Amino acid sequence: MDVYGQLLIAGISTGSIYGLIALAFLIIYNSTQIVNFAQGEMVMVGAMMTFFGLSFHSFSYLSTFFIVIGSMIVIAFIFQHVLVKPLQKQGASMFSIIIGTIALGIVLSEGMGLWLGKQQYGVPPIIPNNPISLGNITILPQNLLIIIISWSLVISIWYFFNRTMTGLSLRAVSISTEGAQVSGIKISRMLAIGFTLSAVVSGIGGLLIAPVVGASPYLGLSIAVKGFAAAILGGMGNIYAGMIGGIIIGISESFFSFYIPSYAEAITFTIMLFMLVVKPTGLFPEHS
Amino acid sequence: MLLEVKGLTKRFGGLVAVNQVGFSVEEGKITALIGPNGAGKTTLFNCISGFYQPNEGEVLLNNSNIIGQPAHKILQKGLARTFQLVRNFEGMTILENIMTAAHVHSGQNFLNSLLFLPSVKKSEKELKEKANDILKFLNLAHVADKYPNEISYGQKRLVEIGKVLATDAKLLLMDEPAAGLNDSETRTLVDTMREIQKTGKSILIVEHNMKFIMELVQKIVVLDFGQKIAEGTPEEIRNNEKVIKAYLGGGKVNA
Amino acid sequence: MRKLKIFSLILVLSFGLLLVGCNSSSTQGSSGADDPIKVGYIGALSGGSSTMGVPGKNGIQLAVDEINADGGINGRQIELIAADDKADPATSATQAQKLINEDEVVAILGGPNSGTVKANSEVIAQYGVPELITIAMNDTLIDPNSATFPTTFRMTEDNSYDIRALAEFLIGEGHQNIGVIADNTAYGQSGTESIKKILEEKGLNVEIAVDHPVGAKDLTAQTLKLREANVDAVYVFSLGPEGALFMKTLKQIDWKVPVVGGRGLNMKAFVDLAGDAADGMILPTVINPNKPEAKEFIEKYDEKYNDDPTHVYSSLGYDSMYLLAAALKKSDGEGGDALIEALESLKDIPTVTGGMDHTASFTDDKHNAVNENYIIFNQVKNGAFEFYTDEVESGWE
Repeated sequence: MDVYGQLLIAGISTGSIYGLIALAFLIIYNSTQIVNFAQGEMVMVGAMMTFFGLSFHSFSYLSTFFIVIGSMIVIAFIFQHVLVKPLQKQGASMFSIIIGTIALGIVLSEGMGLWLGKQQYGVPPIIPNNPISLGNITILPQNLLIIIISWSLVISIWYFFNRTMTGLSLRAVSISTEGAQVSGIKISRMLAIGFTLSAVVSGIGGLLIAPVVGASPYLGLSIAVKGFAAAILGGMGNIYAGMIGGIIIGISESFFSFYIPSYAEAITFTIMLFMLVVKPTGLFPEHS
Repeated sequence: MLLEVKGLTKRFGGLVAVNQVGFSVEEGKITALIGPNGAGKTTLFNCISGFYQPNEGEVLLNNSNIIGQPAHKILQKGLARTFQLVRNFEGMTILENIMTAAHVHSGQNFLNSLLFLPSVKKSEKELKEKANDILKFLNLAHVADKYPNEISYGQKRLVEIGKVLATDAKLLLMDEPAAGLNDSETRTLVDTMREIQKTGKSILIVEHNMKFIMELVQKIVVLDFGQKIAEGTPEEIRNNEKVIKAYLGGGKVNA
Repeated sequence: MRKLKIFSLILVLSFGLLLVGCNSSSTQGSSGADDPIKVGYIGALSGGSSTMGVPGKNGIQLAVDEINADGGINGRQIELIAADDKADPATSATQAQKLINEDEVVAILGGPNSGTVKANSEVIAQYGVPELITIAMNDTLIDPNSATFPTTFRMTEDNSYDIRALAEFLIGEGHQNIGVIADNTAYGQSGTESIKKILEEKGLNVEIAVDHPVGAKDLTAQTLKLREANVDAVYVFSLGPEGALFMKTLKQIDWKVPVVGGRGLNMKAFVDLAGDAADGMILPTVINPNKPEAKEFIEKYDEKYNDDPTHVYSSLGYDSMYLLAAALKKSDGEGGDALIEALESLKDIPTVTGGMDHTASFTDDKHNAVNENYIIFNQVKNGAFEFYTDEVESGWE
């Protein structure tokens, strides 16, 4: 069996999850400039709702999927109408809104904990854990699913932003709010679409990660940190680059854990810091 | 009357930026709003187009009051505006810039654009045709696939005008469209504006360039310190005492 | 101003939610003969460790309810005041101050996290209040050379006790070269150190020890590293989710190596996540479902709370409270030195945890309650914990 191949596939799989979180994070950042510190908690809600559907109620995976999507739409609505809109109406600074997202994240964690319990729950995988062989390496079906779904989502979202008028309009809002207004774009509806898209992507991330690490109200932070790192590495201005950033972080973590164990985390974040200093726009700045 | 402004007042704290201003814009005509710096022209513009909430007064578009409505609603009723500064969407092609503005009238939404419905494909094809027609009309067809940072400033201004044309609005508010343009670009703009007028649109324009104004418009409204001091044809305004005084109290309004 | 209001509202709301977790009723008053005897509990009632902290508290509460229904402590009722330390040492120390000074508890039951217990036991010792640790296992908590020793007691044993038993098991199975996997926290690393030390004392060889961050999403590198070292068996000291991830990775790379685990793996999330990948793993536990007392406890507990599938943490809370109650009866509800003396004279108190005839005792130099007949092994079978044996060689010296 091939050690390199095995490490590579592991890195791509975790990296895809990081990239997915980065994608969700950058959708909001690029349409509103809001740094959403509740992104990890949105993933957490997705994971907890997966537990709620699958383990708590023994629903099918399909019903659970719809429960997750439904709850993420609710979260997006709360994000826009309870947090962002009222604060913007009062003329609050971006700083206040960002702090507000931290508060929202805590409320989501604690609320989820009060409702479903503050434990770590196990969630069964979508496909049983029988490894699939790809040549001389093996992969668990859940990890293969993570890779396939993450990349399909990135491609769909690229298509949405570049090939559909609604997507172009949303980009227009992010480029110039006033310009979008005079073009007749309904800003608030566009933002609703952006927030929903971001929340749904996070929720699917939660759905995918729950069978790997379990569900708990407090899993948000550790996953968000890697998502942010992926976004910074790829380039904050480029929604899709986060995916590349995520894969780089995933693979480097995987190889460093093997060759320089114990230092993997430190090295990963050192790369991120280095990137911030040397090339703050990231590896793939936006085309313009 | 297409647009009627009645008793409009806008205060910022103690400062009265626009004070009881009233005037009208006739269908099919080009009307200009002029006045010295700080006379309140842009504030008035922002009040009419829904970016500011006036403290008092009415803005009637086709006899219905549009005050308090969001910009996109006002636009749907037929009033569109451009800004003093160019607000192109960087990172999107010129064609996409125009298509985005034209999109306001196509019936698609988020869900069916994600579901790749055939009706979406059709409506996007129509959008593209319309946007291409507008670019042709503005002599911009050759830059359709370029990005805003790859075209000249004059072309950028035309793109802004293309965007308001794409919205199908009947009344176009233009905030200093000639600002920063050189003589030949200004001449192109005058021609373009006349062409636009020929298509049946009405235009309200704020401009400093008097030569441009006198050549182009049928009616002028003059503001000074937030108040209307004159209203009339270019000829009448040219000889109006108050106006001459307002413009540094000397000579004729230069032409 | 209004924006400030909204903002503070959000903050207050979120902190309010945070505080709901901390049950902190404080009824002040002079202690008379009819007043309840107040006992404190400091543990993680929220956060990741609440998987252990909450069942621990519920086990204590179940014991309190039974003791009170049975006439209490020489006629006086026991009142349990539970404080949430969120697994944070500083919070834990503050909660200890509050329980002693405001609530005037006579004794404190310590929770699941060694770090927090270490922090609060130093505060508690200053007031001369006895603390009985329910779950935490760190080797340094009960140290005769420590200033906290005179007031600190423990229901269970320390990590070394489990490790010694597992070392005997590994020797019995004929394994020689052992690999260790643990998380990179103080818990995981001090555990790794103890495993190395004890296994080597017993003549085994710790070939390699690998670590990972808590919340790791992949352990391929660590697993491959262990395989490359060609070990005969692996000792998993990680907690539930990462433990499960490791077992799944073993299955993925088709490496059939015998695995033993730490007590911390006794959580439902572990078997739920690992599925059949954990089958065959041996891990120490403290409760034998075939023992009549244990069986009775499990039935009672599940009827009321049903939040501790392995019953490790609830049963430890339950036994701790009965142990404390036995001492309180001796001291007639008095705290301080009288209670410490009473605790040190406890002898052969039956427990629901431990082997068939296990009893708990303290002396003035033995502050861990259990004896060599305590530890029991579970094995994971078909994705569930099953009793394996209580014939465990404890390696007690």
